[in-house]
Amino acid sequence: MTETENRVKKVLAEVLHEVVPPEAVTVEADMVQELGMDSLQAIQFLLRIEDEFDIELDYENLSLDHLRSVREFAVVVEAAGATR
Amino acid sequence: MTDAALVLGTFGAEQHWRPEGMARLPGVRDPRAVAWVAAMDELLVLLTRPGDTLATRRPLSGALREVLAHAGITFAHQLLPQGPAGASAEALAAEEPFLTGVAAGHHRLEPFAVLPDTVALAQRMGLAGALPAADVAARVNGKLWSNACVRELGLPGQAYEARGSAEVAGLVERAARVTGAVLVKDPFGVAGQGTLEIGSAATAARLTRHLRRQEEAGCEVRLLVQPRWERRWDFSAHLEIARDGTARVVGVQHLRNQGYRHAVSGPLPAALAAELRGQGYAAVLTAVAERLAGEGWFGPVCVDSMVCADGMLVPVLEVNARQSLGRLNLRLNDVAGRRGLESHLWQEEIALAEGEGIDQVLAALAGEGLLYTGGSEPGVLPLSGGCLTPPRGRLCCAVLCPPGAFDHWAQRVRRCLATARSARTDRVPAR
Repeated sequence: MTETENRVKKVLAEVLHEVVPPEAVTVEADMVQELGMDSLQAIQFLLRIEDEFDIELDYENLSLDHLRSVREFAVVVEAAGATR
Repeated sequence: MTDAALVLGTFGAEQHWRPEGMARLPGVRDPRAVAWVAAMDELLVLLTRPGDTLATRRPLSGALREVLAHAGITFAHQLLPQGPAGASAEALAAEEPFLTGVAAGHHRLEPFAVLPDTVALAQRMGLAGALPAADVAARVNGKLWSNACVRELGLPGQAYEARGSAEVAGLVERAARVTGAVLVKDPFGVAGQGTLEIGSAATAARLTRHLRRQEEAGCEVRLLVQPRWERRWDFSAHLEIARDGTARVVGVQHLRNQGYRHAVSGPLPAALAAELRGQGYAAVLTAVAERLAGEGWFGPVCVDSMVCADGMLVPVLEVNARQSLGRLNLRLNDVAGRRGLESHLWQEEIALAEGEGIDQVLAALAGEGLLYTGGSEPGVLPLSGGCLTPPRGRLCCAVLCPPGAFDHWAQRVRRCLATARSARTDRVPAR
């Protein structure tokens, strides 16, 4: 697991802590289909990702369909300028 | 022409009242939620009376209609014409041949909310004047109107009104000094969306930058900012305002939310009813109704309220001058009460195996003896099939059960559907 993946996973587990046990949040789990993340949790997750990595995300072009696994989203985070 | 009503509606009505050119809070589009909201028009079956016609965007399951009929809910059904995404149900109903062939045969129109398209449809059905004006509906349904009402009545819970990104930033800082966490609300936010919780200075700064970019593109920033209070109880009062301005309280419903989204509407717990006594809640509702009538509103009203963890009553969080899930549940609760039961309108996301939908959910519930089949035996009454699409769907149903038994029934339903899904998944041959 890369450092970025680890940090994304930690943020995700914090956002979903009331509905998903931390062990269910893996780098491969689908955030929406498997972990059941909805649009409200997604916006909290994305805002905290921006804080964690000090990046700016393009909300106009983001939909829940872009949020798949931690592994895939870590690539988006790194492309937005986060350092490993 | 008969006295029968045409029942139809557009959930997520707020987007139709939202003025052009207003800045939006950061949000994430959820294509599944858009489809679910469109399919929620099936819940309006609870507004129908025998002889009425329910018009929906999607076909209704024959099995669902049979279950509803066993529960005593009978109605005629018509499928609305198909139209572009985002079109209101009322705009679809105003198309030919539906307008002349179906709508015109009704003497009344029972909509979910009064949109400009609803007023136009009423006029084309020969029912001009049967509804309040669309501009009145748009005004009183905005959170700015609710907040002005709170301010003028001197009630607790008033939000700060911010115009411009700089003012938002200042007010977020001010509100954060009260409780630490702050809520920023879009005046026309739709159920659960349009509310952003700000928990850190970094997030506040990001919000300000997001709003400033929209300002620079010519959008107007108008938002409400308030401290986030710890909640003890959420509830809603349901009123009916007659044309002459007289109002009656139809009922008060306890709300359980998930995040800022509706999860369950049900009867008021005795402990909450006791807390409300002597706090002047009824007088506040009367004052709100008078203001609504003064604006020219008549029809259904839902006033969202809460009691904070420290016992403070916030009697007016938001006014929704339209039908609401709590109001729909009150209809069913009347019937349930005569049978020694109480009704809870419940929405929950569930996992569905490939090929599963309302018919499989009904079969699973029936197989476990959980379906409500009328009379005084408790059970679950699914109300919408269109929201049940794999791999995740939204179960919209009523649980009719003895007082205090909702949680037990909800667990039984969850277990039943999870077991049925596992069995179905196991039967799918591996590729």
